[in-house]
Amino acid sequence: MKRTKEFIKRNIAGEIVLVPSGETAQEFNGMVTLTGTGEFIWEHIEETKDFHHLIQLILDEYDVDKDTASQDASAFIMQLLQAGMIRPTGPSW
Amino acid sequence: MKLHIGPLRLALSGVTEQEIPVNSCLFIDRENASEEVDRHYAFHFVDRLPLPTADWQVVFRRKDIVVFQQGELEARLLAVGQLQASYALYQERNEREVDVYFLRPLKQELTIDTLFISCLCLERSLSQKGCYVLHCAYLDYHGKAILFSGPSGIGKSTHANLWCKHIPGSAVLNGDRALLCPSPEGGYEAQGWPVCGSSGICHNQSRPLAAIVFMEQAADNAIRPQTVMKHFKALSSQVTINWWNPRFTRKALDDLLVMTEQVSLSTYACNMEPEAAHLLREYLTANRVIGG
Repeated sequence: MKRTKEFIKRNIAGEIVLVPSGETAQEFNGMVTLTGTGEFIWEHIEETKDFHHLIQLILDEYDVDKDTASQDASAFIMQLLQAGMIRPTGPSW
Repeated sequence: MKLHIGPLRLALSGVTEQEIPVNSCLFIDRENASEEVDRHYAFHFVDRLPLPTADWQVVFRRKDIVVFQQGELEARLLAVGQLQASYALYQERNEREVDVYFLRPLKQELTIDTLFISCLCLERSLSQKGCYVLHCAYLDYHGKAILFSGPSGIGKSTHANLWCKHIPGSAVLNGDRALLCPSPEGGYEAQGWPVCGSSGICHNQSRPLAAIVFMEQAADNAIRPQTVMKHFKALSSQVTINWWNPRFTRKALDDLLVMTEQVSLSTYACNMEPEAAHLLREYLTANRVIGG
């Protein structure tokens, strides 16, 4: 997966927000608020080989079971794909 | 001619006092004529707007503006509504010198507040000083500024007018905008801004900033508790930011976060009855944001 948009990340009193800037500001209005795992996925998604690799990174970082991590990550990745914030770089990821 | 807007001293050539808006004339610097200026604008009235050369890259395009960059320098093609109606080209020669090409057939329109101020493209220079323009009704209450902010049509002016009618010591200093700057004594200051929307109320006066109140419409009056994030988003959405410039955006976000932490921010859902003004005054007084 590749991040396709130019966002600036800021920590606002413990909450993480992504703010569109540069060319992205032409097409993307508003700010995206991230949960802790959401921020982790946004930061690491480009270095993962596939979905399973991403889940393994999450399990290494957070005290969470595999099913929960998979469900949450899957839902968040769908949101990112629908918003056009990431795009697949190969047939499996 | 020199203008003194917020912390900026601007020298303008090629244009006269009679050719700029009346509200901008309130900001003419008549006292410190010899002092150094932050920026110099050379106005050129032309029959056809020049376009930036190929070494300028388009970085942003909207129906009323095209932004070009060449390194750190910026040029803007400004338009009303549609790009077919471009009226000016703003082009930086260097950090301090700017050429403004304005269509001669539209010269009379330069007396419109927004058209003239847009030609000066002040946001970046103001941001360097930590200053931002807030969309708000700017109220003077016993020498302090209370700013009612929110999207157009939400009732900012209506609420400010309630204060003026029913709460002694209140007066509107700008019906649509205020410039927020860090004060040398700490805290922030609200300053005058030469654009005031349809309100027609524009004064070049500064007041220590007491509070920013984000307005919402409701049948019953109530202060709505909000998270820091909600207030940060509300503030960011009502401040003029050049989102196309990542470096500027980063600085603006950092400055606005500090402002969110240091300024009294409230969200107030209210109706248009006199009681709405009284209740907010009581709340701000109880919280020692304003004097009783």
